[in-house]
Amino acid sequence: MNPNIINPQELAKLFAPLVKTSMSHFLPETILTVGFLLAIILDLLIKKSSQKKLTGYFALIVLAAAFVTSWMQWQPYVEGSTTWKGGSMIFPYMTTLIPQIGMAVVDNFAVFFKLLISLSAMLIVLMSMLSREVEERGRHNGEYFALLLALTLGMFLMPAATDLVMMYISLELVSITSYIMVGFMKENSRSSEASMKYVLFGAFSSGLMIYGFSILYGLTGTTSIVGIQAVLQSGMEAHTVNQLALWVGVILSLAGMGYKISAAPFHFWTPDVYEGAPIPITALLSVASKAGGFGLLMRFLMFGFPVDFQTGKLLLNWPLVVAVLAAVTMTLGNFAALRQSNIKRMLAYSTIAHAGYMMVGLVAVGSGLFMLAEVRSVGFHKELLPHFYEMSGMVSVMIYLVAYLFTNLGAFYVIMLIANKIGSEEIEDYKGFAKKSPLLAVSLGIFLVSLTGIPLTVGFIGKLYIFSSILTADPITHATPWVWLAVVMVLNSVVSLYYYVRVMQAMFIKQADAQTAPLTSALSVGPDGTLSYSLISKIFIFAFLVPTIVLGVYFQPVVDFTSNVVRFFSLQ
Amino acid sequence: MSSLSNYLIVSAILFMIGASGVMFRKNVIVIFMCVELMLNAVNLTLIAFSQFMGDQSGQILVFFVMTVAAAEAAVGLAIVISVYRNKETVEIDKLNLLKG
Repeated sequence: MNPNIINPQELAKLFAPLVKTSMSHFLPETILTVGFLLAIILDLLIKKSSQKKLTGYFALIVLAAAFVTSWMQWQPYVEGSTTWKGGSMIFPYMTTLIPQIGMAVVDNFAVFFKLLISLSAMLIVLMSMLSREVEERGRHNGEYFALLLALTLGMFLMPAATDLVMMYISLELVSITSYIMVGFMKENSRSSEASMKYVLFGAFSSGLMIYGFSILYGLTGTTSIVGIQAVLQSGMEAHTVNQLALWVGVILSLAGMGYKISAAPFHFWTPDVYEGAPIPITALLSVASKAGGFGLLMRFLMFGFPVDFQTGKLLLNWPLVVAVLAAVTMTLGNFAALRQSNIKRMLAYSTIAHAGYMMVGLVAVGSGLFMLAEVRSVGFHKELLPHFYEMSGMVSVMIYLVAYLFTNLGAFYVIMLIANKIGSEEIEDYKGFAKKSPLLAVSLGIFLVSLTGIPLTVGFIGKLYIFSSILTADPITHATPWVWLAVVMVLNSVVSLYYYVRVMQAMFIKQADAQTAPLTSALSVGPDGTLSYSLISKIFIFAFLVPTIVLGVYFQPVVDFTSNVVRFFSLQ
Repeated sequence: MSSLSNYLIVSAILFMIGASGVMFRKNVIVIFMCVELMLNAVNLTLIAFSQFMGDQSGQILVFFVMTVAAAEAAVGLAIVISVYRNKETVEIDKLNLLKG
C-alpha cells in the first residue's frame, strides 16, 4: 500500500474549498457555457427564420456579460508593493512532484486576452447581423450565434491554460467549432471545400502537437507547464534530460500552435479557408483566434522554458527557432500577397505576414527574459526593471494585437459591406469605387494604411513597439543580437506597401470600365451611381475607424494598460 | 521482457504511418483514418509513459484525446458529406476551387 495515497474522503474535504474558489474565478467562462446552452434552446423556441436574429442579440448580451466579469478579474497594481502576485491557479490538483498545480490561471495576462477576445467577438456578432452571407441562411442563424459563443469559450481558455490537457482541449474547442463555422454556407461549394481543407490541416497539426505533448510528458512526468519547468530546471543541472527528445517534443508542440497563428510552415490552410469562409468568420479567425493562439504560445514558451536564474541561460534556445520562423513567415506572406487578385485572399496572406511581425515580438520576449536573468545575476537593479516592461516583447505583442484588432476587423467589415452590394471580392471590381461610395473607399484606405504601418495610425504604433523591443540593447554587454530580424521586418513592410496601395489605386485612381458588370447591376444604385448603405452600417464603420486613428495619436493608455499586464511577471 | 522503449518504438512507427498517410493519400476518408492512427499512436505513448512512471495524469490525457478524436471525426465526416453533395467527389485533388 502506497503511503502517499490519501483517503478519498480526506481528499474531497481538502479540495472542496479549492473547487469553490475556482468556480468563482471561472465566472466569465461559466457565463459563456450557460449562454451557449441557452442560445441553442432559444434557437429551438423561435419558429420563424426571420426572427432567428434574436439569438444574435442574446449572444451580444452574453458576450457583454463575459466582458464585464473578465474586467472585474483585473488585479490593479499598487505602487511600491513587492509581494503582490498577479494570478491565482484555478482547478488545482495534487501530484507527487509539486503539491499544488492548476489547470488554468487567472492573471492579468489572461484577463487582457479575455477582454480582447470578447470585444472582438462582440464586434463580429454585430458584423454578422449586417452580413448578407449570414442573412441568406437565416434558418440556421441560431446555431451560428450559439457556436460563436462556444468558440469564444475556447479562446477564453487558451491564454489561461497552464496545463497540457487544458491547452489541448481549449485549442481543439476553438478548432472544431471553427471548422463548422467556416463551412456554414454549406450549399456553397467554396465554403465546404474551405472547411474540408481546414479540418484536414487542423487534425494533422493537432495530432503533431499532442504527440509533442506526450514526449514532454514522458520527459518530465507531469502535464503542468509549471511542473515541466521545475523538472527541466533541476534536470538540466543534473544532465538527465535528453536534449534531442526535448527539442523534438517542443518543435512538434509548436506545430499545433503555429497552425493556430498561421505561421510558416503551417500556413497553407490560411488563404483557402479565408477565401471560402463567410467574411465575419474570416475576420474572427484572423483576429480573435490568432490572439488566443499567441496567448497560448507565449504562456507555453515563457512558463515552460524560461531562463534558468542560477546559470542565466535559457532552458532551451527557442528564440532562435522562433526568429527563423518569423523571418520565413513574413517573407512568404508578403511575397505571396503580391500576386493575389481576390482581396480576401490577399488579406489572408497579409495576416500571415502580420503573424510573422508578432513572432518578432515573441523573439523579443525570449531575449528580454535572458536580459532579466543577466541583470539579476549582477544584482537586482530595480531602476532597470521599468525599462524592461515598457520595452519588453510581451508589451509589444499585446499592443500589436490591439492595433490589429481594430484595423483588420475594420478592413474585413468594409470588404463585407462592399461584397454585400456588388457580390464580388475581386480587386478588379473595386475600380472606381471611390465614386460609388466615398466613405467606404476612404475608410478601407485608412485601414490598409494602418496595416502597412504608416504614422498617425495605430498600425504604426504596433510596429514601432515591436521594433523597439527587438532592438533593445543588452544592459550588460550592450549587444543587439537581432538586428538582422529588424532589417527583414523593415524590408517586408516596404513590400507590403505595394499590395495595399494596389487596392487603393483601383478604388481611387482607376476608372470603372463599362464591362465591370457587378457594380452596374448592383442592388441599390442611386441615380448618380452611388451605392446606398443603411445608417447603422455606416455608423458602425466608425467603431473601427475612430480607434484606428485616435490610438495612432494618443496611444499612451494602451501602453500603460499592457505594461500593467506584464508588471507582475518581473515581481515574481 | 517488455521495456518502455518497445512501446515507444511501436507508437513512433504507428505515428509515422499515420503522418505519411495524411501527406500522401488522396481519398479524404483514408486521410481521416490516418489521423485516427496518429492519435492512437499518441495514446499508446501516453499510456506507456504513464504506466512506467506510475503517474496517472497521462492516462487522463488519453481520455481527452479519445473524446476530441471522436468529435473531430464527427465534424469531419459531416463536412465530407457536405463536400460530396456539392462536388460528388471526395478526392483531395479534385477539390481545387480555392488556389493561388
